[in-house]
Amino acid sequence: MSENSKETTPVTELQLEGAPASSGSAIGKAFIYKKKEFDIQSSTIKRGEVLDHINEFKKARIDMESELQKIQGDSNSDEASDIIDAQIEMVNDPVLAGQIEKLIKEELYSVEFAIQRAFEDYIRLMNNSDNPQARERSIDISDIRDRLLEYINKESDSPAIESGCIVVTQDLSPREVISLTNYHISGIIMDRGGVTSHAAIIARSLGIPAVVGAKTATESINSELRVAMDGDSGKVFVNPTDLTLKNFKKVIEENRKRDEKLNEVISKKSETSDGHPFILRANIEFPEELEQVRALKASGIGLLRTESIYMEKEHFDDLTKQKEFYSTIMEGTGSEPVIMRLFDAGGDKIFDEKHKEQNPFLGWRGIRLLLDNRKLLREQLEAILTVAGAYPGRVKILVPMVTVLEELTKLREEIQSVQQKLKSQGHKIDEEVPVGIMVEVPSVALKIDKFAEMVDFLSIGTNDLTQYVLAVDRGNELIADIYNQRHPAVWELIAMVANSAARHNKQITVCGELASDPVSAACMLGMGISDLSMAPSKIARVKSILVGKSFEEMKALAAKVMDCSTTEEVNNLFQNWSES
Amino acid sequence: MIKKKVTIVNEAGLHARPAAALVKTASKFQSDFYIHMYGYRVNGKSILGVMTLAAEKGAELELEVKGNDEKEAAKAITRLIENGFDEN
Repeated sequence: MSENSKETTPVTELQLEGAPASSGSAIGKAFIYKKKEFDIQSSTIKRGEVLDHINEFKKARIDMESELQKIQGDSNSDEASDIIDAQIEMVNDPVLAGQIEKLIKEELYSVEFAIQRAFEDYIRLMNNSDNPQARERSIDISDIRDRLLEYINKESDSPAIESGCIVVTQDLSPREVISLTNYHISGIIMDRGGVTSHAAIIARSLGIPAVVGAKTATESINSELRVAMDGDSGKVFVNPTDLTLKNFKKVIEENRKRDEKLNEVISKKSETSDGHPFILRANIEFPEELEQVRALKASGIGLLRTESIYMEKEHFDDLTKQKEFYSTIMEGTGSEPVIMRLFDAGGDKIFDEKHKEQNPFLGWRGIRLLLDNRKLLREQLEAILTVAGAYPGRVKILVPMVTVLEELTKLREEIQSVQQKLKSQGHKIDEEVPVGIMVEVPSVALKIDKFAEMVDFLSIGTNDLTQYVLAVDRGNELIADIYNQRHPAVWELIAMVANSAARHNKQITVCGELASDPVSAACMLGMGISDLSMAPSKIARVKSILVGKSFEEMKALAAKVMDCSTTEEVNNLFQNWSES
Repeated sequence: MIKKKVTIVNEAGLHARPAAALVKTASKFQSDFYIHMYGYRVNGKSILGVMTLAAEKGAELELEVKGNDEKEAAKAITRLIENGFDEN
């Protein structure tokens, strides 16, 4: 190692703190990963760079135009072709091009900043328009801007990331997290984001240690500096002292041994020590996660999130892309079932940037939004049901955010009509595609018998159920201490739903985070829920607890949790149970 | 220079598709082409400019065309708008 050679400046350990987003510790060289999107950092350039930046812009325009023309050539719908036509005009807008080049030449703006700046006025004008349609259309314009910026950044897209390094960045998209794993990085530190942010969810599912919301990490850490990070406490040490390093190495070694043990568990049969079977499935969102799902021998997908394909979708002609996505998932899961949750936008996942709400979690989201956007709903159903026909008996549809029975009736009608359409077009269909609902709104849990009669299966989403039953916004840090999925009220509802499912002989699963808490999983098993779905990285840990205890012990635990009056009592009960 | 008033007649107004058609037509001619509306003046060869007008059905535009082929240009543009961009 070169580190024992001369150091010019005395090294002092610097400690930062963020939120623990993904379990595990790591030591590595920092790699400062610059956001390649529109988070424009350096806004001005040197005079000598002007020509380069102008050429970059010209090249991006040409590349984007030729790609649009290619898409247009492939497209067989007039409507789509018209939209692409308009997009090509926008890319080639002479006034816009003049403005951008002028900003680079005269204001010495970087190409990214100039693009950003030039579009700003147009977008503002559209947003301020009295014409509501114009406000909607501003999305089309910002989409062109974003894609131009993407083309600009394509060149510098493959940073030289060394394996084993710790990536330090402001923010990451889920896809960026996934693509970073190809470099075998050992950890992620982000300035922004919360524990429930998308990037954090993906980091957890891939088992990469992560600390988020570290605020000043990118400012205080330089590339090449040594960093030690703890994804379980949120602590980050820059230039760690020998003592810190020693402690970290110990923890990392312990974790490695634990992981080794967990790996042994994977090949064990999924049954309790007294032979009661259970099923563990994976919650995923991207095909890139399938490999891990297979490695963990999960019984298929208990929750396929579908928001990402929509967030990235073009405004047209995306049915093919959707079908491809669903088919890839089916192909990658052998003969196991896949529960596909319909587009669950709204809440923290903004569907329409123009549409801001005061209480988004209590607002236009899930099935509420879908029933108001029938085209979107029908398209998704068409894609899912087409794929379901190709893999009969394996696809199940899960409906998010159901609150009242009518929503379910309306959805059933849509499913019927799409099935009819597919059939009349000569497609093979799966007549019996099961339809289930997310139990995440208290009204559904309270009237669960009525809902159970109408559905084929139930899936409890403890993340939202907790926030609704405790009236705690799960993204609000000020009240984060009240938000706890182990709260006795949550258990009460889970038990009610479990009992109802048993009475109606309906399949029941839990796909919320609580299912990935090993003792909670055991407690659910004790309540009669033997089908659990969780982030892939949690499966081995949950399984190791479930195979080590008897069903009788779990039933006793489930009975005791009903007597708890506080989260603390639940915590104590669980602690004692796992140690007994 | 030719100045001419026209009214948007198609239901959906001057959204992306008609704006693209307008800009395409105007760009076939050498003449400069500007649109005036509610005190705004935008370059009629810039689709972004045209879109920001957010002209709805019934909106009145004043066309300003200037150059060698201004007559032909004004005629072609006017016909396109008055035919509702062949949308309805």
